[in-house]
This record gives sequence, C-alpha cells and structure tokens, in this order.
Amino acid sequence: MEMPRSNLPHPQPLAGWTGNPLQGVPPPRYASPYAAGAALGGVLLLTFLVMGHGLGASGAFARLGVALLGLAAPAATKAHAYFSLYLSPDRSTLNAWIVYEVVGVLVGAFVSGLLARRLRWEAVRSPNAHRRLRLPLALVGGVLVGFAARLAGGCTSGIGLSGGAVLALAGWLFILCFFAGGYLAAAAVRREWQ
Amino acid sequence: MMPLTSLNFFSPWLATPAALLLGFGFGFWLERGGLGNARKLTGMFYLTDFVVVRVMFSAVVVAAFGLALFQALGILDLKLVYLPPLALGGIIIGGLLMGIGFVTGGY
Repeated sequence: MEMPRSNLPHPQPLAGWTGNPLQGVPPPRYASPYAAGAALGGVLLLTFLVMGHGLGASGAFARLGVALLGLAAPAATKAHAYFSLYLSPDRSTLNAWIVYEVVGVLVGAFVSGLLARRLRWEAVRSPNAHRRLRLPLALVGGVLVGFAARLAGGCTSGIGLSGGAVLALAGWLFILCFFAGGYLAAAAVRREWQ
Repeated sequence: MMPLTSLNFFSPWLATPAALLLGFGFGFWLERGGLGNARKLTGMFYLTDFVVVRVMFSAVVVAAFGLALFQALGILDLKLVYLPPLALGGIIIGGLLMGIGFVTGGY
C-alpha cells in the first residue's frame, strides 16, 4: 500500500540547524506595558513600605565613581566638598543600599531577557545608524545623564519615578523638564534611532 | 507602623537582601515591559513608541494609590517616607540635561 503523500514541502532537517531546540521559534513579545507598569508599581510600593524610600539608580554610579577616585587620589577625594559626602568612616563607599539594589536590577533584567530569549550582543540603534555614530553618542549621553543626575539629586528612577509616586513637586517638575529636554534634542539625533 | 526600617526588628543587615530582591523585581519588570531597549525608550521622543509613558505612569499610579491606601488604613506613616527636596535650579537644569542625555545615549 502506498502512503498518502503530503503536499507540504519536504523538511530539510539539517539546513542551518544550530542545535538550538528553540531555533526558528520567535521570541515572546514584551509584556503589556500596563501589566509590567502595574507590577513595577507594586515593587515600588513594596520598597516604600519596607525601606521608607523609593527605587533609584544613579546613586550607585556616583558611589562607584567616588570609590574609584578614592583609590586613585584618596586625600583629594576626602578633601573634596562634594565627593566626601559619599565617604563614611565605618563602611566602604560601595557598601550602600543603592549599590545592592542596582546589582539586583542588573540580575533581574538579565533573567527577564534570558527567559524571553532576548539576550543578544548588540548596540541597539536604527538600522540606518552606524556603530561609529551610536557608540560615541552613547558616551556623550551617559556623561550628560550622569552630570544631570547629580544636579537634580537623582535620575529618572530616583526623582522621576519615586518622586512622582510620592507626588513630590520635585518629581513632577523633573518629569516635565526631562520631557522638554528630550523633545528639544530629539531632532538632532533622529538618525540614531529612526 | 511601616516603613519597616522604622521598626526595631529591622536591622541594617536586612536592608541588603531587601535591596537585592527589590532591585531584582525592578529590573525584571523594566525589561519585561520593554524598557531595556534603547529604541523603545527613545521612541517616545519621535512619537513612535509610548512604552516609557505607559509603563512609568502605570507604576506611578499603582504606587501612589497604594501609598495613600496604606496611609488611610493606618499601616504606613507617610511622614517617614523620603520626599526629594525641591532644589529648583538643580531640578530644572538637571531635568533638561537628563532629557537631552537620555535621547542622545538611549538610556
């Protein structure tokens, strides 16, 4: 007896096969922004209930900077009016709540990306933008954001998100100025993203 | 009365695992919502992707309502919760530079 023949194209089991059982399966899409936002709000609320303050990020980078400065030039760092604020006689500059929190952020985001199979080595940018444009602009943006966070006393997480949630005027004014600055500069770097 | 740090049993040692766990949740849900991707983050400034506004404002609304609820139930003392000081010049110039740097660097 002849087997009924399938009309489907003959499978090619070895062509391009990398051994990954999930090869060709599209990665899951991002969660609904409202669901992810609500969950994020829950984490933020829990942080307030436990710690009495919200979530942040830039403070950890400030501490890392001061710790490195302290290694390179201990006397000058101790004498500096601003950097010395991060120094404490009984504990290391990096032994701070915000530093542990940011370590948790890195691990949490990595695990989420791993579960969603989004882990890739890439410089995220518009297909029209070259890495030679993207990477120097990332450095410029990083310097600006770091400087701005110390001026404002926090970043989009510490002042914007956490300050916004406690309805602090500082938080909402920061959000307003953040959007104004972003829209002002967007046209100049459009080719990097769009 | 919460926050827990105002209670005697909450030793400074407990703050470290709390920081790691809360940070884990923060990073996990940021990535899950798409806020780990610089093109999605900057899309807001080109009116192509509003994921930042949707995620962040949902979070602010949930946290703000939760804070008000726990205060009304007498569980939380909002007087013990940190309020960022309104340093006008720093907030305005810092906010503007933060926006410029964010759209330039992508994060």
